[in-house]
Amino acid sequence: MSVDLRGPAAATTLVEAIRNPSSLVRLDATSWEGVLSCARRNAVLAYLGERAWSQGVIDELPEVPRDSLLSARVSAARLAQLARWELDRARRVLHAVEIPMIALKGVAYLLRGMPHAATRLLSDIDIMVPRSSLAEAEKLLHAAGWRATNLDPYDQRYYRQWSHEIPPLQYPGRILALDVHHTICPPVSRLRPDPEAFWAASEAHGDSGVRVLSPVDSVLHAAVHLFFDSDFDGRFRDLVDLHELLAAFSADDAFWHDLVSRAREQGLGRPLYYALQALSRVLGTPIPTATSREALGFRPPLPVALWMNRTLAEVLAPIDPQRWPPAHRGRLWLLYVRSHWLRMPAHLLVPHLVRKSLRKGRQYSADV
Amino acid sequence: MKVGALSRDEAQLRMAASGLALQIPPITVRVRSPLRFLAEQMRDLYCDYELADAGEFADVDIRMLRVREIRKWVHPEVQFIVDGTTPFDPFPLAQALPMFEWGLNWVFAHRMHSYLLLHAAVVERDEQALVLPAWPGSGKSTLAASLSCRGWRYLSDEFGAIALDDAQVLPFARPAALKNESIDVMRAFAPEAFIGEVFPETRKGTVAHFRVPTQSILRGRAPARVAAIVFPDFNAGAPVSLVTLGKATAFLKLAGNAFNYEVVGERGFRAVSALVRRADSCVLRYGDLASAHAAIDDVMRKAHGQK
Amino acid sequence: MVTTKSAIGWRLPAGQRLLFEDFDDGIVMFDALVGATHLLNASAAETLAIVEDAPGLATAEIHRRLLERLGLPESALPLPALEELLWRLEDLNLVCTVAA
Repeated sequence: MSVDLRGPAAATTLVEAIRNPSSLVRLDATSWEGVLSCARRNAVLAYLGERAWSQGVIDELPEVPRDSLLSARVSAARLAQLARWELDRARRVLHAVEIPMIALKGVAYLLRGMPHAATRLLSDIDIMVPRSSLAEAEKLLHAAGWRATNLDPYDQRYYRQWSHEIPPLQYPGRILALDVHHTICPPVSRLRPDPEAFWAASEAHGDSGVRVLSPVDSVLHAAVHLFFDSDFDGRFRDLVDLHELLAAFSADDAFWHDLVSRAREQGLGRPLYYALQALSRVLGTPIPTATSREALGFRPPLPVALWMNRTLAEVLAPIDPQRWPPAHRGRLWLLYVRSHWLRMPAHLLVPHLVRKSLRKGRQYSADV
Repeated sequence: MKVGALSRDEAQLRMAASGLALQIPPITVRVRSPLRFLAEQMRDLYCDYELADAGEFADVDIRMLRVREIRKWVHPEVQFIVDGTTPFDPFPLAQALPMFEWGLNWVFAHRMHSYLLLHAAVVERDEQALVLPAWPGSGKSTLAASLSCRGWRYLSDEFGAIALDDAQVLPFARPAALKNESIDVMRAFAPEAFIGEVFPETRKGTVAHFRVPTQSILRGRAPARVAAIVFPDFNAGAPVSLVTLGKATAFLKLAGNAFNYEVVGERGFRAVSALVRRADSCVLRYGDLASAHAAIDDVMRKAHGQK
Repeated sequence: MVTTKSAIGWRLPAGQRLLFEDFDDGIVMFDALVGATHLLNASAAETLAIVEDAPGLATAEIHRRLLERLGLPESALPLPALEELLWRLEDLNLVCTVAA
């Protein structure tokens, strides 16, 4: 069997294994190697283990692959533990002065007890505070020991002036960074959801006092984050998150209807449309026909839609670890441009991109 | 079939095509590279290791490729690719072998969480394992290499892989990276030992690799109970001294030095406890290998006597 | 509102699990909730054991039991020293306060 053919087949096998974990039981040695490598490259190895475990097939798998899946789960579980700790430490500081917090993304999934939450390879935790409290929050966190991550002056300015955010904070000696936001979209962008609405719909979690976004808002946030972040590497992982969110929330009949109307209300229809398209094409996520039909109303002009959907399906599919140099550079760059267009006024975009591309060092970092 | 049974050409062809698949218990590592000199160097260092078929399952698949950029013609570079990513910046092309060795260490340390991975060299004699934790200036590699030339089984230069159920140590035997002066010290101590090519000016100074003695490989992959944990501290010309460590102190030093103690969590806590309860721990200050060996003999005799 | 500091009660945080290994030269403890390892002396270890066994005790009562268990006079471990210890443990999320 030729080693080089392992690549494209592995991505297909991986998606199938995620959708139907019992398919793992029938894999041969070569396919196993491909699937594990592909899962690792796309940061879903621990998640694959969780899928196998939840479907009761983990014990039927051969010992070596099973150990790999379990080792990955152990790594990810440790990061989840660190995430809860980081959140707890931030909560102590901010709640002492009654600054409310909404936990976002990975750490929110942990608070919600979602099965896939402890399989994510976090590098930071994200929280949201009211915009009026942002400066005070930064000051308090700094006084309590957090430091702005070591950015050059250009990056610092980018964060503060262009994107109206504070740089990620790092507590010395701890691994995860703390990202403090005041809205769910980069503030300097053409998407302007109303943070007040998200606060109003947010839910208190447990007795810690930390809040989480409502189910519908969680999905919209994940959709926005998927498409309007500037880094498109490893987005299959984020698509899997969306898939899991929908699986968790779709039992509620009102959910799908509320999702569409909330998207319309907050001007987030476009990201929702693309998200549903990508989920359907890449992961075969079940989406009610009515919802798909309604989401068509958010579609861009047809030629753009066709190109974007095709590109996104390619870009969001698992990256093939066997391919060297890695694929997608051209497309990634195009999408990078588009996502930045949405983040910055056009006249600022080009100089910023030129600077960023000159400074780009290691493009591909390990995600074992 | 052993790697050493391949001819030079066969090794190079294989590595350039489907890859050289080495069985390095507990894992299989496949290396693909067009670099002919690398194939030759690996054939030398891994000659006693069994080959797997290139199509068999490999735990780790590594590619060592030239960096393809115009400016790299002047200072050619090599990159280490695993699962389609490059965890490190490129190395000068000639340093492909040290890069491979350090890279594989990195991969192992990041993945193998079914064991507690101590950062230590490990040797074994009479079914008693000796763990030599790593610190800057410890000289653990030289100690382990030299002991393996005097009848000890060499388990590892870098990893004390501790089974989480019974706290036994498992081998992960790979060439020992000797640095700077230790290379000459080792040559003087054991002229019969095979030491590979010397690589000057690497990120860690001058490096050469000590080949794992055939005897150690033949004695197989059996785990061993840890009888002693000796924290080595090399100081050229210093007199030998052994200082016993309290078990709580040894616990913290060992846990702090492990690669994945925090990841493994509770099971790691229990394993380290079992290790320090079962084994004698001490700090060994030494200035030459012969004295260190004699002191270690004392430690092992005492440890054995108590069992 | 003036609160008598020693009237604060203490318990382990919800979901906390502490594992102890006693050695001659110290007690090593694993905080299973956070995944942290600590080296404790006898008074810290006994304090945690007391809080674990009897959640909700006020500082003064913990102090009394601690002195008894360790066989120490008050002068060896005055109440303020225990308070300081408890707040340090609280900072590490090893104990938390209960409204007394």
